[in-house]
Amino acid sequence: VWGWLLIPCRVLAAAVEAWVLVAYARRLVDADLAAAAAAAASPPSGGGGG
Amino acid sequence: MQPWRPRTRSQVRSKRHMGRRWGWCGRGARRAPTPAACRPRPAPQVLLNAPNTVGWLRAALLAAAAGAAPAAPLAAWWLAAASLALDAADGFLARRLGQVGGGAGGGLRGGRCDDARPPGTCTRKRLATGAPLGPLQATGFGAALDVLLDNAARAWLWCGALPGGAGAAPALLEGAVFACTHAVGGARGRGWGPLGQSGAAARAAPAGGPQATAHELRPRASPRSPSPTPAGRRPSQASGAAWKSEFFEPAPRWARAVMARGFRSPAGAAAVAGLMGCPLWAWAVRCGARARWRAPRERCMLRACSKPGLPALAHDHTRLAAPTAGTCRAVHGRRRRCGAGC
Repeated sequence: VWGWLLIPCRVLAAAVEAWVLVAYARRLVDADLAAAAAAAASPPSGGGGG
Repeated sequence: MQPWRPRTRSQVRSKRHMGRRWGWCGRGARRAPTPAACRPRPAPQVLLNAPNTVGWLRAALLAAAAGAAPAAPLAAWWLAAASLALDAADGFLARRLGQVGGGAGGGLRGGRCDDARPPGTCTRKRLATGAPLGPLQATGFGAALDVLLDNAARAWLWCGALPGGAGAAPALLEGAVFACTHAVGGARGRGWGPLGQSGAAARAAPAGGPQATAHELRPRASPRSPSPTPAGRRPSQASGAAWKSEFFEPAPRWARAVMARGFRSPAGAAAVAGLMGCPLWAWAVRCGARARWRAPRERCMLRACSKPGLPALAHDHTRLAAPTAGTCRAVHGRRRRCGAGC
């Protein structure tokens, strides 16, 4: 009977785990976006003047 | 903070001796090595220190549980429970025996001691007075081994407890979290950047550049944690506990309540109880209680199995509830004991 009380505890732990995964994915996406923005903002290298 | 250097003649002699004996600092080193040069330790000293030996013991217990499960579910359950319970023992041993990382340079855990201390000064007394909370591991390898064994034990329990391969779901979740947290910790401790050593964004975003946003995984100053990582500090020391506080800073309140003080809070204790206890309970319900822990029913089953002439079919310890011929092989190891005792 007492074992059923463990299920909400596991759900709580799973929620934290899910948050960790989402937060990590968001950080990766943010890092990719920041890198892309920096690459777009940087002046193009090379090229010749007219 | 200045790194420790030998000052007295005996300290210089001791360090030279240690460096030659263990080969930490190159062969025939005439000068006393610096702590940074001595940091790599011999592999057996890391792999077979007391906390990691507990880890190997846990692995052996888990393997024994997996092997004993078909024939003796109760014993398998106890072996798996012991493997999970020993999770707390390695951190305790690391603090108790003073094997708290640091290599030749001091030894530290949780920022209580640092590289500036001479070897051996991070003693038991210091650890007793300044030991951080929570079961911690001594080395980076030990920390990874610890979590890996936790995940392995729980994955095995879940796969035995849930039908239809559903046990792979919690195992996958826990494995993914393990990968993420160690990627964050590794990136923090080694300065690898947001994606770790091989990440494209790590190559694209130099440290301190305009790409260093607040969401990146690089070390950043925080009033609550020792960041950025000090030079020369081992990754496990810097990343073991510090990333938890920083990574969970933007977390919702309930998540921070779980992670607060190294799970030493009501919410953290509930989460750990769910992590460890739920697979044990579910496995017991599915694999154990139906067969072994309902004694009269199993005795009846064992009597049925002890009759000669029953065919030995493919066993499935999850179907021990029904005293059929298919279950006889699962309890084959107990047939003799039951016949003698019943």
